[in-house]
Amino acid sequence: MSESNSTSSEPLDLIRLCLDEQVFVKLRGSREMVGKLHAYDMHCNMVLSDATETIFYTEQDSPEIKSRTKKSDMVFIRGDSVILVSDAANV
Amino acid sequence: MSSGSSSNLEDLYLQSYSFTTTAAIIGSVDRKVFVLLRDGRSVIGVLRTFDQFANLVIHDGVERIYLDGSRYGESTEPQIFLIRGENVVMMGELDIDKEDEPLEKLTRIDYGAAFGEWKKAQTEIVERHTIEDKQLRSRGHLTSFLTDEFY
Amino acid sequence: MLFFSFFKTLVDQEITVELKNDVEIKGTLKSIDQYLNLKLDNISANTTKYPHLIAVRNLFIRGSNIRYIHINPSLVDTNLLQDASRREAMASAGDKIGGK
Repeated sequence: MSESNSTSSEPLDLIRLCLDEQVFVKLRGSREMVGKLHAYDMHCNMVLSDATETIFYTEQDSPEIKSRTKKSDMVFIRGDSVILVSDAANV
Repeated sequence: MSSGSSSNLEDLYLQSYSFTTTAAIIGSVDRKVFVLLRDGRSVIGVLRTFDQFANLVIHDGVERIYLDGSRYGESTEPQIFLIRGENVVMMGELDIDKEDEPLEKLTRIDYGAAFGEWKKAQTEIVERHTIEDKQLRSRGHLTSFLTDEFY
Repeated sequence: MLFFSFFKTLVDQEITVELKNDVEIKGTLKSIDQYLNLKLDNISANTTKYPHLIAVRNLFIRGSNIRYIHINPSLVDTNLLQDASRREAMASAGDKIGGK
């Protein structure tokens, strides 16, 4: 039992290993965010610093997917928008 | 004077419920508020009671619909509203000296007409989003568009 | 409860809330609860969509409609936050082992 504490046995433990690292977060609303992870909880609420958000969108009558970016020095992300979290180096 | 005594009462509540939904809204009870609903409509009236889910009871309430930034429609018959918390986007206490200011620049139209136009606009939004959703989905992006949310 | 505690430390500070409909509302955080519902004072927002926001004294925002909350980084001790985050992860792992 005790060793399960130290090994990565649960999904959220993977996020713990990303603390203080650059993470890539995919979000609902066709958005992605890259930034340094400072906090998370079981709902996937998170706080990132120096975050860059990429928003994907299309314009009327055009199938082309465009994107724009927004920066935030420190941002809290509500967990219900989160689709996936990954080490930014893997993306 | 009266506002002074009621804010003392607020302080009393705030001390016992420091960080709860109750503490946040109790000060607005018996005041005029607007409630923005998830479907985009606003209800304006006097907040009488609420609970921790932000279920609200609004007294003397009217529904208001804003259209394209230049017109609005408002229901004429004040009603009592029991609003289920999940449909609440936000609620704000209105400054009764200022509340009519934003309306002066807008043209008031019949509520029924405003309602019809607003429903039609929603259908168009749904159509537009359905197309965008399909395009984005094919590239692995998920939109957060819900067909009951127009706020 | 990590983020509830975190936001309690930000009471009386200015934050910007971004809703899921892209509307951004800036204001002074006055209250937060366990569902992360917020109460803001002195709000400023783009009022074309919601003209009555001009006449609003204080605003209660239901947590479920929030997408992001932008915070001034100078108000956040990131080391403290990371430690608290690790502690919370440990505590919840402990709960599961303990059969809770």
